Amino acid sequence: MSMHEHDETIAMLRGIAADGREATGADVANAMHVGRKIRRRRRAAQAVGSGFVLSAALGVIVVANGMSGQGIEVVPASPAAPPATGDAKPTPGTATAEAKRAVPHQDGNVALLAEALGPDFRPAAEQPGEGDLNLNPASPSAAGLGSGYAAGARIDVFDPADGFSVESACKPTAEEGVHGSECRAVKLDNGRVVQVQDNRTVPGEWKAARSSSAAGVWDSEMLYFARADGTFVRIEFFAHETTQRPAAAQQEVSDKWLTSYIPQLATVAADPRVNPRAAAAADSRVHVTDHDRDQAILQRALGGSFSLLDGTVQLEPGSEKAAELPDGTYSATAELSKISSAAFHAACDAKAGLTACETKTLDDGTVVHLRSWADRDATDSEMLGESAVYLVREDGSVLLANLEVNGRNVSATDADKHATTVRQWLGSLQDALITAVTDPDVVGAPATS
Amino acid sequence: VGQQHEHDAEFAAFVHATRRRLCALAYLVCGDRDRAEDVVQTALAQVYARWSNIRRDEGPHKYVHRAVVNAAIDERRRPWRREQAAERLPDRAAPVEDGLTLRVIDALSALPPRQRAVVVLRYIEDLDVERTADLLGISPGTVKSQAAKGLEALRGLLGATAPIGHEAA
Repeated sequence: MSMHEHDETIAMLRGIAADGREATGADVANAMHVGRKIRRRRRAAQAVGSGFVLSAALGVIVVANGMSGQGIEVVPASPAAPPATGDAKPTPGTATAEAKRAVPHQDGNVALLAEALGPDFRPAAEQPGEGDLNLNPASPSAAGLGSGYAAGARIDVFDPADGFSVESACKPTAEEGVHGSECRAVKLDNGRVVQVQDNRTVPGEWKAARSSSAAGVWDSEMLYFARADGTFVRIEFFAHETTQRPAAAQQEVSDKWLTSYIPQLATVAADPRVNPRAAAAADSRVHVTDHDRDQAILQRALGGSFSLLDGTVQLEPGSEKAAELPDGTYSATAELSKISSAAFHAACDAKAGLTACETKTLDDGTVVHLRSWADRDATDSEMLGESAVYLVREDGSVLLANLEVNGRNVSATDADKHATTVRQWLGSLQDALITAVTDPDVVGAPATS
Repeated sequence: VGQQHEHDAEFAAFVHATRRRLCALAYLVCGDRDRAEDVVQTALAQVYARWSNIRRDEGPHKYVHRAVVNAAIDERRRPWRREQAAERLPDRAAPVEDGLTLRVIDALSALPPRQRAVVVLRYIEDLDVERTADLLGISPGTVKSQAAKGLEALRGLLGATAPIGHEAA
């Protein structure tokens, strides 16, 4: 019997009864439903990736900015950006096997981070906080951050098997009121390229369904470095409120403080000593498309109840708008895309059994075409609903902002009640779709799905 | 199609066998029941998405265990952003927790995320040092030191006494 078995604290830990609830058929069905979506997304991403490799021979444009004096420069993160000056030959077909052998060595990685950030940042065991390293509030560095905020840093090495990639992380994101920019590429003196993403909270945007209190500010710089073995390094350098609702100006101070650390953080992300040892990826570019940018415009219009992750706008479970739907089996996705004129006419023209789309003239004279419906599919007891807003632009192209909602296990008895609620719900978001489709910044790209 | 049905049946059995324990684990690490449910559901969806590979390689138990623990300590869904004031009652019954459980969970929430995960895995899940290190991607030495520091902090928070000649791990 080991000594710790006599420890009263351990006995208390072992005595607790924090049990979860038993699984239900709905849990299994939900997991399968979402799992199939993940599988489809992965297949789509693989198809995009294969085309992406072919574009690697495009030209080189390097744009230096104000950071160049600190040993780094920023290059465009577009598909036309330069191939990275990776220091390893690509090894097709071996990435998966190497990644499987990769075992993170977290302690050494944190030590590298600590070396770069200096003594004002301490390990979590010495300075409690949310990071692997946390800022000592009494240190000189904390004075620059300002009052009401705490800061810290985390470093992780991800395996592609985690289902998470630099490519997907670097697209514009939005989740629970925190908006992530598309990545910008930061080039180090040694030629290595690190992707940097700014994450900024829009105070008050996110409200959970079961609470009246708004979430506080959590801003961060996320740095990603892709490596030849398929793994990638992520550093999260964050500052967050420690008190509710400090002045908005304080967030600006905090954000400037965060960005001032990017040079040394980028150096750590690309440090070859980060374990498991791996060279830089041969191609470090990320592919942020016009469609990804249009999705960000759509998410902003729909508001904080919708997230944007990996180019997909989805209703966030637990959000205010999710709570307005009939039950927890409902999900919703939205997309803003360019469609063909033929597809528009097929969807909106009157034909046998189908009326024409409703037409609405906005205050500025813009005309949009609307269709909204909700109905139960008797074959699989799903409630389906859709709200579509079409805009025919001056050049003849057609934009579609589309919101689809789906609920499962709806009985015939409940069908009418659910359909009414879903139609009202779609109606409440129609103005947001109109705002998105008429936004002058929308480029208009074909749908990805 | 036949193979897919077989996989679906295997997966359903796996969910029924593991979900309850996974939710408890996620709850202890993140301290929020709703978030724990989300974390487990997401991890199970990921397991289903790659069921064929996972059952062939490291096995679903290890994969899902790691996915749940890492997601529960991932600060991208920050525990400090948890909402405090409940306007409405939860729409499902939460398991009954006794006073000791609530006290311990409250104390656990005061530990840094990774330290909390170490304590939960070592002393509640009863994993050995090596398995805990493997799941969290840290060295066995760090597991031992974090476990010792975590217990020391909990001792202060819970008012428990240290055993004579105490050895944390």
